[in-house]
Amino acid sequence: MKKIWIPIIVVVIIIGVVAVFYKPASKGTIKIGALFSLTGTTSSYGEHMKEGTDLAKNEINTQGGIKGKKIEIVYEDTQGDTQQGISAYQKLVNIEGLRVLLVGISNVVLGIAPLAEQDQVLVFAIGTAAAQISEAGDFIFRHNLLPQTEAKVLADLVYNKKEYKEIAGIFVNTESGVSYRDEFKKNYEELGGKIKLIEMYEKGAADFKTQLTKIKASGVKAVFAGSYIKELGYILKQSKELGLDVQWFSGYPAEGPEVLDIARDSANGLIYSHFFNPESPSIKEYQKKYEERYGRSSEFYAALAYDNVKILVEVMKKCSNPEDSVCIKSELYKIKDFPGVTGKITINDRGDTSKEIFMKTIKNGQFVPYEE
Amino acid sequence: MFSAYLIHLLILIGIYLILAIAMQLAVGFTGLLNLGHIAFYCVGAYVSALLALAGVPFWICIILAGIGAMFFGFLLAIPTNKIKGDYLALATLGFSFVVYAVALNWTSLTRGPLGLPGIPKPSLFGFVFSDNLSFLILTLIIGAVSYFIINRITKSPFGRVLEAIRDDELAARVMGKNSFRMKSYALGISAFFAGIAGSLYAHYITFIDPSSFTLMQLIPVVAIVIIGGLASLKGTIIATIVLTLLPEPLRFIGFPSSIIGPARQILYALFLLLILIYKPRGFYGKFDLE
Repeated sequence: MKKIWIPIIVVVIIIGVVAVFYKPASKGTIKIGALFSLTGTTSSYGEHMKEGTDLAKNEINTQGGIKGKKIEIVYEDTQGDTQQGISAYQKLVNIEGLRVLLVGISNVVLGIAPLAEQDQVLVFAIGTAAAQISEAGDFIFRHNLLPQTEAKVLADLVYNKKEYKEIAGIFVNTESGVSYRDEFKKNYEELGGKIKLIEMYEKGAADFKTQLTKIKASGVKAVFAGSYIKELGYILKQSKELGLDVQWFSGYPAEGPEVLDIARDSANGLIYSHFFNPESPSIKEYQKKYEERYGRSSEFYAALAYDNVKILVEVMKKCSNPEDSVCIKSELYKIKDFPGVTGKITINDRGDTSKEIFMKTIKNGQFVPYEE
Repeated sequence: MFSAYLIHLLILIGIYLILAIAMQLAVGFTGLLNLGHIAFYCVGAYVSALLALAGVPFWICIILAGIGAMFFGFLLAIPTNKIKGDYLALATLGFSFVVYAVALNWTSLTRGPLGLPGIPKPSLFGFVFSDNLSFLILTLIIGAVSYFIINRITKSPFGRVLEAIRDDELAARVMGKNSFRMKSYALGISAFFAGIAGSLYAHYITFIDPSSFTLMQLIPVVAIVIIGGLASLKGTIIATIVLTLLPEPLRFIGFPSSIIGPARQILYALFLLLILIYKPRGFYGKFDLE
């Protein structure tokens, strides 16, 4: 019998820990689930989303919540993994009985989408670029500035206004980078431009000298980067080191504090599209609140998450039962020109958002509006 | 609705069980520390998903998933024939990365990082396993059959030859056993069942992308094999159940939301460490890995 005591002890320890720490769900609150990747390789996105979500939650609760009831966010860690995401979904929906979820990563959204459709659970994704999410179902919504929209505006700017008839591209090999690549290529070539070179890199890379040397050899004057925040910082820094003197273009991931931290002076001159309206007072107010609480300025995922919560609360107020996902779903489709901190938000019939788009640039280490 | 959650966990246990006992055959019984196991799982999942999306019936998908993975098992056996121990682990780990890179970059076939969504739920003889309960029964049946077959293999004369190769390859060859052939059979069979597990995973989750088949997904399987005890199928079953369920109660601990993710991982790691400190051979381990 000696051999079986270990599993027994493990089980006893688990039960003990659960018994000590288990907090029964508080009654009388409206609960929203949040499936974020809080650990693992994508944890920085999850952390930012959590900060934005918490900020919005506290604000709503101090303003009196929804019809006198406070809202509560139940966080679950997905580690950015589909299977973990489904386990977390099962726990939130089937044990805690949640009907509304905020979800952070494309593959998790696509993994839980069939289940959510079946269970009539409302999924409101934050960010996420995968094109299939639009078709994933009736209950699946997404709040993001899509690469399709950005690529069109950027291609027009590059070809018509800046008159670069040739360009090279460097993209991260993930669903977001691939979407930027395909959409930009399509739009740019339709205008008559020529993409001389496309270079891909793996997520999390830190050395881009090979790709940048190739781009330098191709002799282009402009490069489009469809990249994540940190990597974009490294790309800009190393391109300067290699003496690659080109005009850089990028989508909205450019406006992350890490880009400036890593690239410093080399980031100057980058032109990118973004949804933060530089003139709007609401974003300035939001940034002030965010800095007060977290001691640094907010990047875009936190702001998107903040708006997600605000939209959900707005919609829940209209429903007689604020946790009725069917009512929330039909009300969400009616959202038009919602004044969020990330600009005016309209939800279309595919559950995607359309947002305003602004051209911005980096000047003397500041994110400023781009002027021609 | 506790049952839905439980059924989901049991399905995961079933899939991991097939994956782990398949790995046990190579690692525990034959002594091949094969870290390329996740690659076979990946091949199985992709073969099955691509065929199913092309409209091939489920039972053909799952068998071809196994055969496809088995093919790569034999393929991997050829270059790794003469390497042992840590070196074999490194070489096979390299194979994992190769398969991952192919899945990520062969975009015309696998759609690369976009993944394959909408994989149909399995159907057999007109019956569709659309709800999780029926899928659980399917998984358990396939799991039981896999266990039965691998159990028979390990107790057969062939299984004893494998164990002889593990304990002393030179002696086995002196006795006239073709160790290369035996090892490649072991890898092939191991890969076959990993492919079956991959097929079940793909049809259960209905969405696969290369990120589901990285080193991070290999670690739990290796942990199951080591903690269950090398060359013990019974231990593997217990370890599968314990390690799959272990993270779940941690979800119910009311950690403050600021540390919720890391705190769970620390506790999970702590359990694994405790088991390995007090039971270095795992639950029912019969020998140590060289």
